[in-house]
Amino acid sequence: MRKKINCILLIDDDKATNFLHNEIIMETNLVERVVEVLSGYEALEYLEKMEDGKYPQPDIIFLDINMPAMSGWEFLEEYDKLDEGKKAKIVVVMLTTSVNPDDKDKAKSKGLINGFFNKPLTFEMIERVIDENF
Amino acid sequence: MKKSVTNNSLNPKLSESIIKNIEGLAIITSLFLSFTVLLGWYFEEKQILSIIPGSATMKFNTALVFLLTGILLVIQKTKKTAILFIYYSLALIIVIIGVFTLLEYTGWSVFSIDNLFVSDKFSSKYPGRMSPATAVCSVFLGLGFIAEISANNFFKKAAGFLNALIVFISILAITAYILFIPMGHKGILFQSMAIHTSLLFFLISILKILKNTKHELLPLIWGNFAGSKLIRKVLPLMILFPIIFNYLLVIAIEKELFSFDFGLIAYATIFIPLSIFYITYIALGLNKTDIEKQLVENDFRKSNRYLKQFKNGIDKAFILAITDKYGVITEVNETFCKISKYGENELIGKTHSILNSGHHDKQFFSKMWKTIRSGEIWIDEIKNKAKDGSYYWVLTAIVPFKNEDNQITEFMALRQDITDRKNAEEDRLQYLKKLEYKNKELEQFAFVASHDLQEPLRTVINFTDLLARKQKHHFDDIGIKSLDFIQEATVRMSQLIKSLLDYNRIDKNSKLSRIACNELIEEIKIDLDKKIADADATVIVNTLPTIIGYETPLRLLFQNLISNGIKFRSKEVKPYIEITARPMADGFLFMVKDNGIGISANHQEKIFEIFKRLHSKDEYDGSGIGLAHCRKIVDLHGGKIWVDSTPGSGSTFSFTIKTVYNEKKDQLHPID
Repeated sequence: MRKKINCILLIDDDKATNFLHNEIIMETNLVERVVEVLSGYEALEYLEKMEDGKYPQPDIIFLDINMPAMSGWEFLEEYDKLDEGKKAKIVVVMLTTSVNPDDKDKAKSKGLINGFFNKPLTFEMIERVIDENF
Repeated sequence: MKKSVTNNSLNPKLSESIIKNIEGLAIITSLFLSFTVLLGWYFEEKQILSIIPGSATMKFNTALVFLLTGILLVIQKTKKTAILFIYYSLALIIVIIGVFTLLEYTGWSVFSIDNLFVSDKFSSKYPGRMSPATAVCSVFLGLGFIAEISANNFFKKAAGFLNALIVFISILAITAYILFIPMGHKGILFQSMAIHTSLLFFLISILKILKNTKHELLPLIWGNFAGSKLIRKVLPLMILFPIIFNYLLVIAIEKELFSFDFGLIAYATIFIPLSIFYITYIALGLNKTDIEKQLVENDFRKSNRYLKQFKNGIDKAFILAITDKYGVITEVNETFCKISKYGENELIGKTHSILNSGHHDKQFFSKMWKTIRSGEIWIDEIKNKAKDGSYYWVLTAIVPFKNEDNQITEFMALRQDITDRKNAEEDRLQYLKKLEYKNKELEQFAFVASHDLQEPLRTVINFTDLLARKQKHHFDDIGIKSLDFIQEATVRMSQLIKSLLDYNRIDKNSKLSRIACNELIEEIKIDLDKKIADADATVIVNTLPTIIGYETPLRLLFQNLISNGIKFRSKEVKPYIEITARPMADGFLFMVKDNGIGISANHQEKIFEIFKRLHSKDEYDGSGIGLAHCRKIVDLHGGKIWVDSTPGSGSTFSFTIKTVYNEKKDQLHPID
C-alpha cells in the first residue's frame, strides 16, 4: 500500500494540459490535493504566500519549460533563491520537445530538479515518482 | 658587345660613302692626269709635265704607271674575277717598270726603259727616267695590288704595310716640295719626283689603306671616342704648324731676314708653348667630357642598383617568368618552379601552354595576345595546371618589354597565387546555392505541412462541433470541459496554421510600387476603426514619405505595429500611438511609439522570433507570429527592425526601409 502524499503543484501555461494532468493525478488516488497555476510568476506567488500560518510547500512540482514571459528555466533560477522552507520536496520537469542538453545537465547538477518526463503525465509516472521519493 | 660599340662610333654607311668618294676621286685623277701627261710627252708640252716651272717633271713611265693604276682601280671596283689575268698582268707591269728603273740607277744597263716610248728632251740629269722614290713607290704599288686581293692573311697585311710605306714616302715628298728644299741637296730619294706624282701616290695609297681597314682607320679618325677626338684635334697642328712655320722660315733665311740659328731657336720657342697651350686646351675639353661621362655612369650605376633591388624584390614576392616575343620561356624564378612543380630546365624553351588547365577558352588567350602585342599591360586571373595535375589560380600581369625602336622584344609575366581566395569564392558560391536550395525546400515543406494539416484538423473541428451541438446533454462535467478544450485547441491550431501559411506567403506575388505611407496608414486606421474606438485609442500620424516597396506586406507591417500598440496596453491608460519617419542615407527610418506595457530588456530580441509569446493567451491573445512577420517584411525591404522599451512606460518600434528612386528591383532584397 502506497503512502498518500499531500499536494502537487502544476505549472503550465496551457489550461487544457493542467486540467488533464489534474484528472490523471486525482485518478491515482495517491494525492490529496492538486494546485494549478498558469505561469512561473503565479507559482512563485503561490509558494511565498502563507496559508493558515505556514507556506504551502507542495510535495511535487510538475514544471513546464516552454512558457511565455518566464520559461521553466527562468522559473528555476528564481525558485533556487527561495528559502528551503518554501521549496517543494521534488521538482520534475515536463517536456514536450527535446531541449538543449546543456540546460538539462546544468539544472540536474545544481540539484534543482529530480527528473524529466515527457508529456502527458501517466499513472506510471506518478507512481514512480512517489515510489522513488516517498 | 665590342662590335656594337664600333658601329656606334661611326655609321658604317658614312664610312662606305667616304671611301666611295675617295675611290672615285683617285680613279678620275689618275686616269685624267696620266692621260694628260702622256699627251704632254707626245706633243712635248713642258708646262703640263712639271706644273711649276723649273721643278721636276712627271716622266712618261710614271704616267704609264698611273694609267695602269687607274685601270686596276676600276677593275677592283667592278669586282670582275673573269679578268683576273689582266689584273695580275697590269700589276706586274707596274712592278717591272719600277724594278727596271731601280736597276738602271745601280748602273745595270743591259735594257733601258727610260726612253722606250718617248725621248725626254727636258731633263738635264737621267732624261726620261723616273726618280728613285717614284720607282720604289711603283714597285710597292704593284706588289700591293697583287698582295691585297690574296686570300692569305699574311699577304694582306704585307699589302697594308707596303701601302703605308707609299704614304710615308709621298708625305715626305710633298713636305719636301712645299718646304722648297733645293733639288739635289737633300738626298737622292726625292730627286725629280714631281708634285703631282707624290700627291697621286698619296691619294691612291690612302684609298687602299682605308679600303682595307674599313673598320679600324676610318672610325679612328671620324669616331666619337676620346682617342679619335685627340687625333682630329692634334694632327692638324702637328702637320700644319711645322710645314707653315718652316716654309716661312726657309723663305726668311733665303732672303736673309735672319740667320739660320735664330730661325731654329724661334721655331722651338714658339712651338713648345703653343703646343703646351693647345694640348692643355684639348686635354681640358677631353677631361670635361670624361667628367660628364663619369657622372652619367654614376647615375647609370645608381639606377642600375635601384633596378637590381627592385628586381630582387619582385623576384621574391612574385611568380616571375620572362619569355621571348613568341611566348617561349627564357627565364623563371624559384617561386614559379615551386608552384608549377616543374623544374627550371623543364620550363625554359617551352611556352606557357604547358600549364594550360583548359579552364579558359581560346578567345581568352587570343584577347590576351592582342593586348600585349599592342604593347599594353594585360592583367587577369588565370587557372593553371601544375605538373602533378593539381590546379592553381594566379593573378597575372604580363608586361611587354620594348627596345629603343619601340619593338617588343620580351614579355615579363608577374603572377600571384590566389588559389585560396578562388577556392573560397567557389566554396561560397556552392554554399549559397545549397542554402538557396535548402531555403526553398523549407518553404515548400512549411507550405505543404500547413496546408495538408488543415484538412484532418477541419475534420476534428467539424466533428467536435457536431458532438457539442447534438450530444452535449449526454456528457458529464469532465466530458463538457474536455469538449470545450478540444474546440478551443482546434480553433487555435487552425489559426496558427493559417498564420504560418501567411508568413510563408509574404514574399510571393508581391510587386514593387510607389507607396504614399500617409495614405496607407489612413486606410489601416479605417480597417482598425472598431479596435481603436473600443480602446479609446489615439493614433497620430506625422508626415511620412512616399517610398518604393511591396504594398500588402507594408500594410501588414504597419497594421501589426499599430494593433500591438493598442493590444498591449495597461488597463488604466488610454492607448496613444505616434508614427514618425525621417530620411537616412539610403532610405527612411520609421518609428511607431506607444504608451503600452513595454518589454523588458532581456526579451527585446526574442519578441521577433516566430511563435514567441511573452504573455499567456488569457492575458493577451494572439498567435505569436505578428512581430516575426514584421521582421520578415522589413528584411524584404532591405531594412532592420528593433525595439527600445522600458517596461511600464511604452515601447518604440523602429525599422528602416531602403528606398530607391530609380525603381531598380534588384536594389531591394526580395527573398523569393
